[in-house]
Amino acid sequence: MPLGYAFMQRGLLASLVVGIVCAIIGCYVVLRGMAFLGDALAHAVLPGVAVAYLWRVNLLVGALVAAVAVALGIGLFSRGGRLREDTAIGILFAAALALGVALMSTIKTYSTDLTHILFGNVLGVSESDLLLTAGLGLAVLAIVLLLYKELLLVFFDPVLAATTGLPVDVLRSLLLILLALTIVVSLQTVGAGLVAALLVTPAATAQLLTRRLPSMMLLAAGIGAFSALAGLYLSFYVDVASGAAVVLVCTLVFLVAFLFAPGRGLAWERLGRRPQGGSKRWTTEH
Amino acid sequence: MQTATALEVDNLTVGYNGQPVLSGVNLSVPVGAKVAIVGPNGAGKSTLFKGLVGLLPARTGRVLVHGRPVAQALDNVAYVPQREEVDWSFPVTALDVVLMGRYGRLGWLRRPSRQDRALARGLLDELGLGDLAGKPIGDLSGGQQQRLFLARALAQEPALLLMDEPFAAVDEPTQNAILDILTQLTQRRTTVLISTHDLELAFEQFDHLLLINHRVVAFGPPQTALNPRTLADTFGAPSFSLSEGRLLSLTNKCCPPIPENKPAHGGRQHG
Repeated sequence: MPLGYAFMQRGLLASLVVGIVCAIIGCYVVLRGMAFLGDALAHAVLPGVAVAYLWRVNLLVGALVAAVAVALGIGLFSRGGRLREDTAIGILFAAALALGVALMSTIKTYSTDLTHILFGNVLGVSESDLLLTAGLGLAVLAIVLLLYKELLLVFFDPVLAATTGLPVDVLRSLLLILLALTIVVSLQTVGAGLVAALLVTPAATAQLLTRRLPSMMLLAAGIGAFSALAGLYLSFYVDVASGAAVVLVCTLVFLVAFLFAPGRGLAWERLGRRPQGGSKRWTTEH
Repeated sequence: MQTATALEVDNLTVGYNGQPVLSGVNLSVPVGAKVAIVGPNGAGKSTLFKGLVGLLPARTGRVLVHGRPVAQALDNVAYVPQREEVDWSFPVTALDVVLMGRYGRLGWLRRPSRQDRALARGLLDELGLGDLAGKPIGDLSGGQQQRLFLARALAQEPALLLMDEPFAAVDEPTQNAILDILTQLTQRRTTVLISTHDLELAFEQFDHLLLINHRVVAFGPPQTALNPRTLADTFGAPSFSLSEGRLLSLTNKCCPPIPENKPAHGGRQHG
């Protein structure tokens, strides 16, 4: 019974929070095609972590500062169409990663620490880490819930958002900051290398199975939580890296949905039997 | 009161990246007017709308809605952009979209009330979309999508309604439904501005015409706004005639003549 161990309990709770928060923020990431941005932000935390390590401050604080700085930097570079957003992301992402690796290589215990940041160390979650994870996770969820209407409008129809007087740029930046927070919270459980999967995969799975944003978010959260639990148990019994196990469970759930989603799955398409109006979303004429 | 001005535009210049598309627009639209904006492709019809609602900054001039600067009057303005500007695969239902029209009146943090939902459902019914309320928007046809966006604009309860190309690629019933609603709106003293490629439709169904070609060529009731000179200034070579107040033929560059033998359903679609 792995839950007999306190470190296992903490790891499990932290993974659950991360699975749920990533999945919900991930719905916006998937709907707006920001998967690349999510991955970039995850790698951009490295220099922040390195600096925090060198200055002996909390690593998560360093990660958060770096992620927010890169998120806002991308917004600044791409504002007014000076650069395409994916170009701005590519530039800043690689620069931050390089800076991170350069700084890390000056640290003696470089390889273990780097591995932990890249791939997580869920069984090393301390009580204060868990509190911080839970606190930040709840804060992110609370903001998404409170500003549901505003964020929906900004992401679905920025034109209407702007003409009803909403501060579109501020809300976009806010979502980027929430995304950065989510990534930082996830570092300890799945690490920078794999967090993009937790952001994208549950949300993409839920998109195949639902037709409204609230149900998409709920289902994604369920998938995220299930994958976190199942992955952690799997890693305990089969003895594989926990972050990788969580992501692999997520991916398996996605593949099942991709094949068998009612009306939209690949298997359904093969049968040639789509329910009326099932998937003609790309036709524009009547 | 009869001569109250809904929309006042003073010397407005708007454009993209340093290039003005429309210059020196002066306009005074009376309350309750039903205005069709006509001009060739690239004349600045969409740019005008974006300038009016502040999506493009004014380089010169100003826009007043019922006497107030437009930035402070956005509660009273509804703008329906061209249909292509929306992500139709987004997981929202028809009812969700109409409810978005209420967001501006709700303010921060408040959820739509039962009254808001009732109003949204009523508007869906009015536009013949009642049965589709729970459908994802991607399942709607082009005409239904256009009516949906009109329903959302109506949910904003605007004093000024701006629609960019509402008749592009819609079927005849949708076109008639939209025209009916626009007439009802102007009877209730809402002011309506739409753009269209269809000069004949504009001439017959609207009480004001605004002819533009990078500037305002003419504005007024169709009979006075349209004459051989303004037509030539708007579309280039004069290629149709006016006789006893009727628009007889129309073969200008923007809109190819309607083929005679098109199936009934095609009616007035072009552009």
